[in-house]
Amino acid sequence: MEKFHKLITSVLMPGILKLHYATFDELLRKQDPFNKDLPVFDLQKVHMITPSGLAQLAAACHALNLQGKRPKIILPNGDVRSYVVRTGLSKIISPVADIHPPLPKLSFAFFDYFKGKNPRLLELTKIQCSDDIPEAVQKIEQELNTEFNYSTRQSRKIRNVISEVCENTFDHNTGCCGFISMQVYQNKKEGGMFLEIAVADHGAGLLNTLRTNPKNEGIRDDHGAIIESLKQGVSRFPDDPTHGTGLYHLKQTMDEFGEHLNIRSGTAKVHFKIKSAQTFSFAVPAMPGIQICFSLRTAKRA
Amino acid sequence: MDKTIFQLKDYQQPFFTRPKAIQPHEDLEKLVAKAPAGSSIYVDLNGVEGVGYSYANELFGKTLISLKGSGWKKFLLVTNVTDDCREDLAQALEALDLVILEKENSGYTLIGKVNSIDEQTFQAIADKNVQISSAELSEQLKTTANAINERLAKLVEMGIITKTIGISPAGREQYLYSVPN
Repeated sequence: MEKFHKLITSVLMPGILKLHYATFDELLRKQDPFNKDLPVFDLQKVHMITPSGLAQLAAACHALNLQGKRPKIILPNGDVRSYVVRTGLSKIISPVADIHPPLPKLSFAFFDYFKGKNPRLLELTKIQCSDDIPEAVQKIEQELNTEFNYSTRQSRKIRNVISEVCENTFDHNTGCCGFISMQVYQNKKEGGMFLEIAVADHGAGLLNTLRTNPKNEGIRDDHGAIIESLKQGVSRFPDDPTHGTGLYHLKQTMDEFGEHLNIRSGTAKVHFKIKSAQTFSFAVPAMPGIQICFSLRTAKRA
Repeated sequence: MDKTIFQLKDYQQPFFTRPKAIQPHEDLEKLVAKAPAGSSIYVDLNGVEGVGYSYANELFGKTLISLKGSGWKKFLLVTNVTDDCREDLAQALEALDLVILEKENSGYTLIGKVNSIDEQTFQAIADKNVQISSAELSEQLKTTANAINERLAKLVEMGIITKTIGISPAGREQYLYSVPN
C-alpha cells in the first residue's frame, strides 16, 4: 500500500519528495536560487529531509547571504515543518533566511528543550572553530558503539575522520562556517539500520583551495579536484607535507565501513557506492563550498 | 644519551584538530632545539586517550620531518601509549610515510609506516641492547652484507636507529648501530 501511495504521489505530485544528497541538485537545477535576486527554495512537495538535505540547505542559505541575498524557504505543512524545527535547521538559518509560512514563535524554545535528547539524531550543528567539533563527533561515536556494534577502535577511526572533515570547513576558509548533522534510519529493504552523516560548508570549494598550491595547477576542474583531494598529501600547502590527509583518511575509512560516500564541490559531484565498488560522477549546478555525505552500516566485529 | 621529557597531558584536551596542536608543537620544537646533539626527546602520552589525525600531523609529523631534515641529530620517542592512542598515531603517521619509536619497559615498538623487513631488522638491533655492526647483524639475520647495509641505511633515514663510528676487533673503523636511548 505504501509503495502504491508513493507511486500515485510521484505521478500526481511530481517534484522532489525526499531532499538529500541526490535530489538537492535537482532542486538547484529547477529553482536556480543562486541566479535569482530573490532566491526561493520551494520545498512544498518534500515529505522528508535527510542530514545531507539539511546541511546543504544551511550551507546554501549562508552562501546566498554572503552574496547579499536573503533566501525564502517554503515548507509544506505537517511532518517536514516539525522536523525542520526539531533538527535545528530553522534556528540555524534564521539569521540568513526566511521560512514561509513562518514558524510559531515558540519553535526555537521547543528545539532548545528537545536538543540532544534523541540519541539517533545529531541536530544540525554549526562549526566555526575546533571547540564546536568534539561534542558532535562524540555523539556519533556513542551511537556507533551502542546501536551499530562498532568496537571502540572502529568508532574512534570514524570519529577521527569526521573531525578532520569538520575541521576542513573552517581551516581552509575565511568568513565561512560548516554544518554537521546525523540521523539513524531503519533499512526497510535489507533490515537493520544505517546512519547518515553530512558535513557541508559554503567556502571556496576544493578546486579553488587546491589551486592555491602551484603543485596543483594541473587540476583542471571541480571533478578533478574531488578525485585529487582523495589522494595522500594533496593539499593547498606547497611546503607542508603534513597536510592533505583528511579526505584520504575519509575514503580509506569509508572503504572499510561505509555504504556510500558522496562528495560535492562546485559543479561536480562524485558518488562512491562502497559495497559494489562503483563510482559515479555528475555535473551539478554551481554552489560554493564542499558538501560531504556518507552512510554507515552495522559493523561486523572481527 | 640524555633524556628530555615532554608531557602532552599538560595541554588542553581533547587532543583533536590542528589548531589545538599548534602550541604543543611550538613548545616541543623549543625543547628539541635546546636538547643536546645525540639526545632523545620523549613525548609522554600518559593521560592521553587518543589523538586526532591532524593533531598528530601537526605535533608529531612536523617534529619528525624537522628532525629528519636536520639529519637525525636528535631522536623523538613516545612513552605510556594506550592502545587507542597507538592506533591513532599509526594511522596518522602511515599517511605521512613516517614512523616513531615507542619505548616501554618491555622494549621498543615501531608506530607508523614500517614493513615486516624493517621491523625484523629493527628488533634484532633492539634486542641486542648494545651497539651492533652490520657484519654481526648480517650473520644473525643470515642475509648478505649488501642487503643488511641497505636495510640499515633505511632505518637510519627513518630516524629509528643511531649510527656511530666504532672500532672493529681488527682495529678498523666501522659503523655501529643501536636504538636511541
